[in-house]
Amino acid sequence: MTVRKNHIGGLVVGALGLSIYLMSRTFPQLPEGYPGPGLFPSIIGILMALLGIVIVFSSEKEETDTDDDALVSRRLSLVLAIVLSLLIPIINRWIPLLFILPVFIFLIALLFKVSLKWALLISTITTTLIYLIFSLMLGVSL
Amino acid sequence: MNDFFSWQALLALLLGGFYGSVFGAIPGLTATLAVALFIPVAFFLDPIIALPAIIAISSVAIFAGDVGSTVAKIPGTPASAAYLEELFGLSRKKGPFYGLGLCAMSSATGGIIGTLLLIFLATTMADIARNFSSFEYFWVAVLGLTAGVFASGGSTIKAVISLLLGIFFSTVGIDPTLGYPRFDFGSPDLLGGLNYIVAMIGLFGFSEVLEHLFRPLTMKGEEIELDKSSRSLFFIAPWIQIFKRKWMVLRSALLGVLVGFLPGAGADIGSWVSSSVEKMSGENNDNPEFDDHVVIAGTSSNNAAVASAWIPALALGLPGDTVTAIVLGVFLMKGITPGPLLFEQQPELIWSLYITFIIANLILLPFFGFLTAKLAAKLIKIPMPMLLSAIGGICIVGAYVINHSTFDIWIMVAMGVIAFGLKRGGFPLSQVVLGMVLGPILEQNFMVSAIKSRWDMMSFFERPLALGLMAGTLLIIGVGIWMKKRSLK
Repeated sequence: MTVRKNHIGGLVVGALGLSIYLMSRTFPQLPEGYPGPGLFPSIIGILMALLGIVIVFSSEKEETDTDDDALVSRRLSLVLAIVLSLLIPIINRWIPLLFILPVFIFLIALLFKVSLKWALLISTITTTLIYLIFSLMLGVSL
Repeated sequence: MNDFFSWQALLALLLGGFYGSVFGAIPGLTATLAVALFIPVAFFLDPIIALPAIIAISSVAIFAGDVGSTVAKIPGTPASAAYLEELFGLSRKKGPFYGLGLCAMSSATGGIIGTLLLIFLATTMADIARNFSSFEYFWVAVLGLTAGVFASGGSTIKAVISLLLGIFFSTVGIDPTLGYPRFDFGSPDLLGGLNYIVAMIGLFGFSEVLEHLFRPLTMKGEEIELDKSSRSLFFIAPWIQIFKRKWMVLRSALLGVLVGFLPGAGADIGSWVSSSVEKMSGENNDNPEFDDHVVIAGTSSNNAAVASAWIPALALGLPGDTVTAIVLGVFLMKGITPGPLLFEQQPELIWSLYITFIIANLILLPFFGFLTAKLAAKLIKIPMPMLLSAIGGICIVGAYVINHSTFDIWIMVAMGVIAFGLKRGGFPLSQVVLGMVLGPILEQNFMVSAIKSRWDMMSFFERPLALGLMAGTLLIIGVGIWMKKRSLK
């Protein structure tokens, strides 16, 4: 399959720039009509929108990765790692971070296809080190 | 100064050197990542203890990146990729201990030259900066951003976009003129702005975990046996070569200083520029010592750049590379403002920094260099997936401990995802950091200058120092465009 190189990147940058510009227009102005808090964000928004368009139109065609099984599995691992990380603050409402951490490291290790034994070992060692450095030496409550 | 010679500071220096040597030697792990992961610990330490450790980490990690190139033809850091073929070639011919010794001794020499210039230029620049008003600081930020665009080496448009994104991140939270909340989406956690250190951990730490999950590092190198002998090959033989090519060492170190000085460039680019200059110098490739010369040029340049990146960072608050950008963030969070006043208010901090650079280059580099060479074969075989799982956990803890805020974990993850996307799209990351550091300086000084001159824009061009900085910006644009055109031919 061929797509235009940077097409998606350019569109994302352009859309982000446009959103920044539109949001910055809602910011108040200084007395006597001088630009205020919205000045810099609106300049950033306009420039990003313009450069996003430039990238879209200057992109070249390139071959993309084929949708083989390995790619699907890698994408899945990536999404799972992000979801796991985002869940930590929610779970932390009930369980202390120090207890969530070994489970998180263990699961990430499994996503990296580390064997069960080594995943257990690395999660235990890392959590112990983190406890020693942050809780015992630096006095941070985890 | 007594604090610097305390056992805690010396222990931090030694542990920093060891940590940097292990981290740099493992292919795929960079000096910036090593520093980013250390920051949550450094945050709780006295700056006079944390700073030497950070310098030791970055100086030794840049050298240790050569271990993978020497033993298995796998560069440990982007800087060592610049002379990969030559280093592997000469290590095969003359032995890996000679190759690593040449890297360590050239790095040490370049680092010392960079440090001497750091001591001289930072003080001089700080003296000049004492006369700066908001107009000059505005132009300093413009100059830094402009240099950052052209120092990226890749697409200029993408570098500008990365910078703009970084400046945008810096606008989140209360604005400096009216105290109006911007882009906070109603969340009180965003009112104070995006925490700089948390963002760095996400940009450089968590993004690596995501990157390797998506595209596992395939390390197919050619391995060579480590010979038993060693001390003389490591410590003495390289000096003969370095002495024979002393002018080239000086030229490469000065090039490294120049590149390191540019905001957003750093050791990686310094190494590529110097080794490329040596490769293009017209010397015959059949010369049996050609590989030695390219390696000496690259390695003497990279550590010179590590030191010189601190010149604008200390004197003006402009980060020369990602490591100094991270350290500036720690400084600001600790209430230390870089700039001319730092030299008056915290002279012991400045001197401890200078002394650390000298110790790092004279003692730590050769010592940990030899140790790393001895452990080379084992270090490069440490399985990356296990390390990255641990790094994922450290990123989570690092983001949390800065403010004891679980919200920061979300910010860190979001930054990691953004950095992953940027890397996949070929957008440079160091320019995002530069934008985040220089964005507030640019905006605050522009607004202050504009308001005090009643929005008379000509006032930005009236003061001689401001005009000088503007001329410097135009010069950088001119040279940058010329160099881009030249590289396209």
